[in-house]
Amino acid sequence: MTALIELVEITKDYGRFRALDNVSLKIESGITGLLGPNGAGKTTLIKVLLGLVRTTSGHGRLLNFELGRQSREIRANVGYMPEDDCYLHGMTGVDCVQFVAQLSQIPATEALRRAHEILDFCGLAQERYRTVETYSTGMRQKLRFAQAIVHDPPVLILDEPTSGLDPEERQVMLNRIRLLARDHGKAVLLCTHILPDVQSISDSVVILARGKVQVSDSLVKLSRPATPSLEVRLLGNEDRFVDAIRGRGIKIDRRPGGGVVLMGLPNQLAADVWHAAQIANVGVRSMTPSQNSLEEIFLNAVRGGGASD
Amino acid sequence: MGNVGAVFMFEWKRSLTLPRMAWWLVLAGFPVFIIGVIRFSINASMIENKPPDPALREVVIHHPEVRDAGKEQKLRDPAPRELWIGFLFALGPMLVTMLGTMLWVTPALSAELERRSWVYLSVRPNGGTAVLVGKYLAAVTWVIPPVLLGLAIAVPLSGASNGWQIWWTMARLVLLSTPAYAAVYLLLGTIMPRRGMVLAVGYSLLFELVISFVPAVINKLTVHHRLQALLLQWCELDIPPEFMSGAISLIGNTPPWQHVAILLLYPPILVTASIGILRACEFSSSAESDV
Repeated sequence: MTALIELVEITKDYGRFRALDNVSLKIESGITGLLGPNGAGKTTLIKVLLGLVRTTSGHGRLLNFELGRQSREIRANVGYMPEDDCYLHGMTGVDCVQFVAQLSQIPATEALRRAHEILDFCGLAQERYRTVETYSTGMRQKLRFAQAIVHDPPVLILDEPTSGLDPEERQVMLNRIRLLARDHGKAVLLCTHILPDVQSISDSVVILARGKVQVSDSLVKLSRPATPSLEVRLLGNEDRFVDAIRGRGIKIDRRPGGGVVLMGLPNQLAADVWHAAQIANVGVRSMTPSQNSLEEIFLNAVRGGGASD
Repeated sequence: MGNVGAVFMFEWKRSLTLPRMAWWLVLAGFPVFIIGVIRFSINASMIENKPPDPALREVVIHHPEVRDAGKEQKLRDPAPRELWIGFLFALGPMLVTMLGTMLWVTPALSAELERRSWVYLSVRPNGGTAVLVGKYLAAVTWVIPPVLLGLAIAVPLSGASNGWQIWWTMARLVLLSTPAYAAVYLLLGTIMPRRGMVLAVGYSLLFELVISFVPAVINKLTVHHRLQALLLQWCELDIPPEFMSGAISLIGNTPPWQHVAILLLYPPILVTASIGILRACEFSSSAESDV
């Protein structure tokens, strides 16, 4: 994997308010989830990347283009889907997409061809000939997505791409993002509040809180608990199982909703689990190495950084 | 330049709506209406106060050379040609042009910020510049035709002699004033997008309508000063000598080509300044609280 975005000690102040505080970050290609509570600095970070705001201090690169100095090149290579629900009044969907393609310096005829192609990909059928103010939330979301990818940029910055979508449409949108990343080699920075979206498609995660980077790593590494453990779910009397396993000198942690977590290497604990289950006369429903959920990672990161929402 | 063309075409397409067409007709009709009202009032006052002298009517009817020499109008019309030129100048190259460009160009940036569409446009390569220049060109080409059309009707309606010469002078002034005023308002709208209209109205009233009449160096900065100098030099006005010295002290002896050159320099300088401000400032969102 190659470094897609590299930021070095980026600080951004809005008057006396510090939106980004000494942010140093390396984002690799693939899908990266950008998370953080409201006011964490996510939108400012995106604006800095796009050259929409100047940094107070620090420097960085995106696709080997220097932030701030090579904004034109960066914008030509980035597709941005903003969170704001905005549309160009009085235009049809296909006109909108063609217009933004032309703004990316694609000739009119080619822009129209691409607009139709992308709208097919995004699932806007005959609705593309309606004026955009008549669109539903889902259609507008698809239109915004189409506008972001119409000039075929290698990098996509998607701000809340699934907000306002019903579960089925949300899944379809995530599949489209996954397809663009896996099959078309696009690098995606996915900024969202919906943690399951990030968990389902992201390769790595960046968590911001109060303008500082709290976490930046691959999702696989982050999901690994600090101490290895095995999560066991049982059929039958859990208390007897706990007594039996404690008798074997193994540390445990009981989950409030049911289930027991055994501390230690999972492959070494399996035999002990079967023995204890036999002694306690309970059935083993599942036995899986423990993983940190993204929610836990997020909450730990935000609390650790002292941020509150 | 392709993206400027796209914005230009988009703005023209967007202007082909009923409200915008109605506004176009209002701009064209305004000078016609005002000149028509003045013409009607003068005619009415002539009928009321000065019934036509039968002897004078005889002269006009039986001596065509008098009529042909344009003396008929001088004999009949108490409003001199210079007065009509003044009205036509104030309405065409000044008022209607200022109003049309002000209403179109000043909110060029603020309209996109308020609609939150600015971010869509500005994240394209040179998108912001394309939007400003495209909107500027669309405004200039949209405002010129109604003003010329309005003058084409208003000039004959006024009954001033040498109507064609007056229209041609006014047309040249409109062609110079529209790009200049549009550039001024574009700059004002970019300097202060959220209060651009207030700034533009203030500028128009203070600089273009007051300071341009002050015989000082500062009046040379106004578009109006250049336009009135050109009007005086192009229109062969019959001004009494006692007024002419006052006019020259206000306008100076600068040759017409210099006024034309300065007016032609307004658009590139001011549009470039607007683009510079756009690049230097952070117009990223209408909601500045977005962090």
